[in-house]
Amino acid sequence: MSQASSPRAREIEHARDLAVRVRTNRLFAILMAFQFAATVIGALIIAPNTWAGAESSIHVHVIAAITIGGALAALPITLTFIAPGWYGTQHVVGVAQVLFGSLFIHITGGRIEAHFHLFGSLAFIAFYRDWRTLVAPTLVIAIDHFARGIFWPESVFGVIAAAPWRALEHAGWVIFEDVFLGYSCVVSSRSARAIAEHEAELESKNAEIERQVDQRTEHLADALISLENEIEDRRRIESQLVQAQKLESIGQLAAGIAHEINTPAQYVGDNVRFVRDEFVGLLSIVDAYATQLDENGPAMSWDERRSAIEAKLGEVDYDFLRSEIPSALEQSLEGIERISHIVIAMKDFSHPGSSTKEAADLNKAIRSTVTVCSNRWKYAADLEFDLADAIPDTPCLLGEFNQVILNLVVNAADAIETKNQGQEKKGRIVVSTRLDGEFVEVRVADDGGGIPESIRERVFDPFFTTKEVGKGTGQGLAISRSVIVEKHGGTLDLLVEEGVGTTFVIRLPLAKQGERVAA
Amino acid sequence: MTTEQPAPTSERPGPQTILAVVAWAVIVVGGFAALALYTHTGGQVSPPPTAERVPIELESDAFTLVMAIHPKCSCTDASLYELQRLARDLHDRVAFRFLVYVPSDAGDDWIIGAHRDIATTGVPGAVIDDPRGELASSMGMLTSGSVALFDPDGEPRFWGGITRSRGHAGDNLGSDAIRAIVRGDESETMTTTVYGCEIIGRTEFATAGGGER
Repeated sequence: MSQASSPRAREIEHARDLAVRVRTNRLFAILMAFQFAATVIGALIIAPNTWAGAESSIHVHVIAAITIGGALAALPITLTFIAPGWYGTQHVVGVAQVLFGSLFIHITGGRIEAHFHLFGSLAFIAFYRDWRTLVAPTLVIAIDHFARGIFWPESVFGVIAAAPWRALEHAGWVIFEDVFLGYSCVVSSRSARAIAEHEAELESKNAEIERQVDQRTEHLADALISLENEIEDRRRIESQLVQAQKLESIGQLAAGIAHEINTPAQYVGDNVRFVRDEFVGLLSIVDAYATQLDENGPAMSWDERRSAIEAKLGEVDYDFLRSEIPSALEQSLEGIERISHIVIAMKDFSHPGSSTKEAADLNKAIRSTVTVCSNRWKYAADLEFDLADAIPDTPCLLGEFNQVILNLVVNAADAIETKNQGQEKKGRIVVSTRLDGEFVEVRVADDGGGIPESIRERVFDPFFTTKEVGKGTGQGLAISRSVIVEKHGGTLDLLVEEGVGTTFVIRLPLAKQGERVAA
Repeated sequence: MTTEQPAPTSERPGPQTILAVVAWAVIVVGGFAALALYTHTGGQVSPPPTAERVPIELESDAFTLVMAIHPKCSCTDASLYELQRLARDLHDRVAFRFLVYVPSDAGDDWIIGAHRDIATTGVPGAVIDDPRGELASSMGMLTSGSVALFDPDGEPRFWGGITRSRGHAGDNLGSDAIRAIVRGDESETMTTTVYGCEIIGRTEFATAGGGER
């Protein structure tokens, strides 16, 4: 018999072959037990006793059914248990099966129908899918006929001297069936081999696919790690960029802030110097009073004393001092307050921020930011607040939120400045807040003419700017969108009224119920 | 807790198993040989008497075929089957007689059952009760299924069995010989082996004064 081409296919074929053998042996073991019982029962029904006149004894067929039938069944059943995969077992089974047929024929009185058992048995033996298993049973049938043809020819052929070919005739019919059964065994065996080869091939392909999947998974894992690192780098860079922009803003705002601080500082200084200078005159008046009230001083009339004091008051211009000094002090306090306000605003704006969102008063943050950058808008526009009172503290990265407001206010001022270039008139910026369901909405509206439609799509792109070189990097709106959308889960939209102005709308989600946000 | 069964293998078992297979083959062959011997071992046959000593009436214008039957003998079923075939071929030239063994203590059911079995074959003929097998014995028919063929002159022309072996129906020498004789053909066979139960038991045989069997 030819073998499968690959070792694995041979292994599979052998395993299948073994499984078929074991399964068929088990089926035959059951059949043997059944046939044994059927033979004994048949013998008892057909010929329970043999007679001699009125006397009877157990029929030889009953004894034969028990002894020969028992022997025929015993060994195949035993081998099925102790050597189920042995090739010898199936040959023993095959021989026992046809001998059972022979026993049936004896017991049923040679009925022609009983001979069908033999042909059925051969077909059943073909369940082994091994033509070699048909050989021994066929030989047993042939030998039986030849032997009986020699010793008891009448029992086989009905005549004493039959032609030699008559013996071949009986075996011929068996071989006739064997040819077909053997052929089906060979075909079945070939199919099993082909299946084994396909299965081996499939296993091999599966193993290859699994190997490739593993390899690609490994590559993907590497790529994922690389991507995660890249994302981390990008986050870090973005964070650095926000910080850099903040520093850039502070740098750009520094001159304005300095100016904002310098103006009150200057007049506070002037006023203090004025008070300091005039304080000498005031002291001279006090001294004049003290001299006139000294009992040990020269004797002078009341008029002379009063004239001396009046002369002093006139000398230091007391009326002027009396009205100007309180005013100077008041103005100085106001100036100090302004400086303090700017410093606090700067402090708020320069909030270093944290990596986690904290609940913050957005209105206060907006006021501080607008104050810090007032020097950037106050010459171009008047800025109005329309801030809702009932805005709850909102989870946000405060430093980055401040930067967004600064970007939008400065952009608004720049837009107005560009529109009103060469004109004296000032524009209008409105910063408003309102509560909208689960969101806080912040709007920064200007009347700078609106962003042209042709560039609206690109205003959030990194490095896109319409400002002259040195005035803008093109990062402001890109960073603003990144901060609001990616870091806060909010939205940043653009509303344009062509020829009128632009409104940027920020929507920040409030803390969800049960969500814990650092205070 | 379960113990795992070892997986079956194709390995050859030990020498004890091989020896067991060989011993089994010897036992089985021996058993079948003994069975075959039993199947092909015939019963006792004796030539029938001439017409004047035949205890039953024979036909004078046709052949008469007498068959002795032990109603309980299962092997005789095959003989009756063969008789059916003969009757189908020869019924217009042969008259049939059945000698049915009836033991001395038999009840009606024995006789009724025997008559019914013969009637079932459809073979036309007279059924004669044969108490203690005396008639059959006197005609040399000591084995159930034995037949004796008499010609119209009352001469015995054939005696013996009409089955090929014990209880096995089918073509056989006895039936072939009877057909040939009745049809007037040459037949070298005058007697054949009978396969069946003994019609007379040892006790009856002794009572009837029989000798060694």
